[in-house]
Amino acid sequence: MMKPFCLALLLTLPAPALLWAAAASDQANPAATELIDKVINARKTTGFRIRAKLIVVQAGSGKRQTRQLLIKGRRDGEATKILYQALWPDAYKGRALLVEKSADHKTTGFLFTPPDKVTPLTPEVMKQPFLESDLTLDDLAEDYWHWPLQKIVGQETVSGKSCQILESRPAGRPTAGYALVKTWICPDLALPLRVHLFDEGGQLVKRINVEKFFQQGTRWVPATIMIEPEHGRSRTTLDGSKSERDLDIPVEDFALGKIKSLAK
Amino acid sequence: MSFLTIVFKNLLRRRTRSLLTIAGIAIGIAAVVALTSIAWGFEKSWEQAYRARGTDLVVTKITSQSPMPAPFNEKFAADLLKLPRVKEVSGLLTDLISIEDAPTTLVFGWALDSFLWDHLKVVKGRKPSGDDEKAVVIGTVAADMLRKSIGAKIHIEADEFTICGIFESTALVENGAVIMSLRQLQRVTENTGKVNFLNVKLEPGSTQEQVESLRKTIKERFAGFNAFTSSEVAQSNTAIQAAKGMSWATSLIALIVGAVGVTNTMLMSVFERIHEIGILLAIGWRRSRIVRMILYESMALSFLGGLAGVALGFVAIKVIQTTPMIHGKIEGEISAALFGLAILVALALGVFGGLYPAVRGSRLSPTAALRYE
Repeated sequence: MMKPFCLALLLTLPAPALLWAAAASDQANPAATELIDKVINARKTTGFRIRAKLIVVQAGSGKRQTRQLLIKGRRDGEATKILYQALWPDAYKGRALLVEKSADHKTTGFLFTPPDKVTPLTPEVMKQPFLESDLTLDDLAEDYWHWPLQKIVGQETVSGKSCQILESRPAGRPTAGYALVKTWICPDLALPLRVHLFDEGGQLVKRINVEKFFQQGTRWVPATIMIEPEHGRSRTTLDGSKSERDLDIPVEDFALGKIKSLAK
Repeated sequence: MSFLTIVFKNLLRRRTRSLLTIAGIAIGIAAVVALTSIAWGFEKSWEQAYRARGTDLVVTKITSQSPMPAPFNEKFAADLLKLPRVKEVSGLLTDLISIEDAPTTLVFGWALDSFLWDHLKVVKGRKPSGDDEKAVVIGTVAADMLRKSIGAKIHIEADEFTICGIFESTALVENGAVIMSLRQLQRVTENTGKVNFLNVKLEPGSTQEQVESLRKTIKERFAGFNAFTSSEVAQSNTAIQAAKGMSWATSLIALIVGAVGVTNTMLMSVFERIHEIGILLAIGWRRSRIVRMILYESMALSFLGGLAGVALGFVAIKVIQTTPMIHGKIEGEISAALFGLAILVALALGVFGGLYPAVRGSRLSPTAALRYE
């Protein structure tokens, strides 16, 4: 069963990666499983399309750089595909990241750089920043809620909402860039409002905060997400402008040929 | 000494306190005037957009809380054309799109032969020449916002367009928009063959009854669709509803602060005059007359505060409209109705603020009040 909590949960606003997850891991405690399932069920959909702005602001100079993004997702049974494509500016236009999750949780996909460069997703590649922002490809692809150790470790108020703190740990040595992920989830909204990512030494590496959220129909979705590396020289904001869900995104949209055509 | 003279003399006894209370009310009323003016102006701008296009009715598909109605098949326009008194139907696609580094912008897709273009004044350049031309016209406000001029390239979704013209419209909302051919916007937004508004022009001289009858026919014959007049479309717009809600919420806070100020002033005034109120009761004033006296005092304060607030609000709107960052983007609606509403709100504030002190004052026992030092 898929449990794709990855940071796409936050990045893709209506949380596409979460949408298709089923039950939590066997080693997760029941309360954690219930909480994860609640968030996942609130976000289930067949497919989605999101338009967002990725804004990177340099800490010292305050220099601001914007990239326009199109994020699409599709579910085929238990397998999922998520495609992140840069639309603007020209220097980034056509760059894409395809993340495919098989029914047995395997992550495949590639990074596409126009005109023809296709880089398969390896552990080394996954550590690269996405479109020179504070997000790594790992942040967009890894399923933290699929990690075997999940437990609720406390409760705290975030943005005026009571949240439960979920700790997610990988089994053994982490394959992803992080050894511990703490997520503050508001059960009432079925929405994570804060994520802290830690390295193997227990040091905080990155903070992700949902700055704004709103109700879309019966669901609560993030509108603005801030990504702040602990020792970084910049911070990144993901600002959603449009989100459509329960769509049937054609499978051809995820084919390399179609991905390449955007760059032309 | 007349009753009203007593009321005004009471207020003049503590001039500074009265003036400060009037100032407090004025600030609250000014907030109401400025915010309501902006919300009404926003609504009027949308209304003007439809009126300027010569639209008598707007047909959309009923959807939930989405800011834009859901797209539907453009062939539906042909069905509408068969209805009595319908002269012309023009389908258009409207979307809110995040363009480059600018805030979310309104983008219209209009058929190039549509009557919708008639009211636009192209001040520079031209309108797109054909459906295949990847060109747009932008409003004067949009040109400022996007920092673009004629001949420049503009990226909308994954496509690059050339700005072939800059236009001016009587509707502020259109001045901040980007317009391209319907076919181009359908392609860009993956809505081929779809529109989300149908603008209907009726035969000249159509009566109100005929318009109503047509609306009823549309609702009955085409399930899921609704027909609105231009002012109704503006009123049902979720963005306008949100703006109005925000303005009322903010105004309410300002009014509560004002009402507390009036209550405080009047209560202090009652406490200072316990002995005097005792004398008035002892010489035969009815308790209802005491209530009226205190309420008139608070209403007089509120009325004067209301007048000052209207003037202050008017100045605030003008200042906001001329601020370089906002100029051309916000247009306040200044009308007698707004000022009348503000004065009524001020008077209501006086009644609510003065009610408790008035009741308190009227319940004093004359003997106890006379003994009060």
